[in-house]
Amino acid sequence: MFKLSEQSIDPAACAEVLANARAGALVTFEGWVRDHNDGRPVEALEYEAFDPMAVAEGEKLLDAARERFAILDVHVVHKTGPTGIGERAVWVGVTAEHRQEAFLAGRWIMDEIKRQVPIWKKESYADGGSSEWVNAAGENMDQMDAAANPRYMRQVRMKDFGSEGQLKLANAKILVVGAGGLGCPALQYLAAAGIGYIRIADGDVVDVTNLHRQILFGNSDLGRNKAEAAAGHLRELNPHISLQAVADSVYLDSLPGLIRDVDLVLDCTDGFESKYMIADICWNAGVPVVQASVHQYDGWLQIIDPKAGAGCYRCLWPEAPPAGCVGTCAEAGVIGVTPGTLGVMQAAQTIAFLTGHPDALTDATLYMDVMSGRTQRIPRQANPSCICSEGPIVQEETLNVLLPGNWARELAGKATVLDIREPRERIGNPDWIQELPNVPRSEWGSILERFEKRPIILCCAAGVRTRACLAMMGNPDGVYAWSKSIGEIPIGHH
Amino acid sequence: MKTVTISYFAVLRECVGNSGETRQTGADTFRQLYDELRQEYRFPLDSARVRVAIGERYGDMDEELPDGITLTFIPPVAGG
Repeated sequence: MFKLSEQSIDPAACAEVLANARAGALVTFEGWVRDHNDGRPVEALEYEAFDPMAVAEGEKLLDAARERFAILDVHVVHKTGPTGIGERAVWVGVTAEHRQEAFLAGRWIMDEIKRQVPIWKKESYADGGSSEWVNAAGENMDQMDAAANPRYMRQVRMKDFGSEGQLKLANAKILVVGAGGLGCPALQYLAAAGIGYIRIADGDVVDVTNLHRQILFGNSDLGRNKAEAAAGHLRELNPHISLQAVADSVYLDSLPGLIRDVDLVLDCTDGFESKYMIADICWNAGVPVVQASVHQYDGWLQIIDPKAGAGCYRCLWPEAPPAGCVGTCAEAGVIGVTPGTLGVMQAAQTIAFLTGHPDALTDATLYMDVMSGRTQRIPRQANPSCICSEGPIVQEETLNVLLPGNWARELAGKATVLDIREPRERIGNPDWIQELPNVPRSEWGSILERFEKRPIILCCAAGVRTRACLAMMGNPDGVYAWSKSIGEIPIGHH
Repeated sequence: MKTVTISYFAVLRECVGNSGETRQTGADTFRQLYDELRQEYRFPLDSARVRVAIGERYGDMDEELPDGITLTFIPPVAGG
């Protein structure tokens, strides 16, 4: 019998079910929750099963075991819900007349449970940052399983895609930055197509103004983190893949860790700052990026692949335009079908790239007017005068400060206004803030050398760091203090 | 005077109010043509910030503007 249990598993009660006078052997296996995974300390764990599908799949599996092995009976209990470190996650017991068959069957059953039964575990890590829904099946699914899964039958049937294409998707690990207008449709198709592991990063929450284009979400998601909400829906869409939700925006200091183990990144973000940050860091790391951007009815799409020889993002667009010239979707407005179309095309390009399609957009850009359906595909070339030809791209010092807009604009011509907050605090700040240079704590020491010829205005969130920075500069004469309530400043995510 | 057919992309289209036009111009280069249009439609970006696409390639803004050409001005876009 295959059972799910929200209560702790009682091994004695489990074994009792199997009592049988004919049995000469009982082999049991217990899976326990350990306090680490993949080198990371695990703090809590939660199992979630798609009941009754999980029970039906489990029973089918046990029937198969009874046919395959000369056993008398088998009983399995799998824990669901929150489960503590050291607790039993699963109990498997097999009885047989002789020990040999019981041992063999027990091992086979446990392996097949992980492979076939749709039970997910969500790990929360003690070092913070993210939680991860790992599909036990995805973890162990060997290559033939993905290609033989009826879920993918229609795409595997295509001769030039076939089992080989499916296996490439099953073995791929990708990062999708932004689960918004572009990210939602891209994620839906990529999850459905069977990408083996998808990491989703987004620090934003679902807002009612998102729903006309971010169609993975519904009313019940309002207020939820987008990465978490997306992972939840995608788990139901395809329980055979692994998903990790990183409920945070990407930062200069966090992005390198998020791309370290992936084959490809989808940039589905909204704004120049993130576009350049992702492009630069991935370029330096040699990781390909599938990029798309939209404005109202228009969009473009390309793959920046460091190995393609067609240049980096900056070869085409050396630097971001001055803040405020080109609006984000929130500022300029957008019709849902534009990011929808481009997001689906990002998914298509991801599949093209991962399966080695010879005409993927690694050396060209596609421009599209969604309303007229007009497209233009323009080849790209490396630009010999681009900074990428001089080695790794160093991110320009970036940009923003907590000041009322008028004040910053007025002073910007007369003095050097510096934001001394950390880069992560700037993400999502308005464009006018982003015109101002940023000097994080590690560079405070060099402020005087660099800017001694002009008056300097230091800005931080509450004044504590400004004072600390001044102390480091030897508390120079002529210091004036100014502060303003943070509440009056229009800070927010797009 | 030359006759040119221009398509506008993204924020430029937003400024112009439609996706393209055929017009007469005395401009010698793509840059001069763009500057002329920028003044008329109050484009927010100067000519160093946009790209011109001619058929299936990116052009140089300082190339000579041929009579009868079809082109697209492309500004940077980052929405999503």
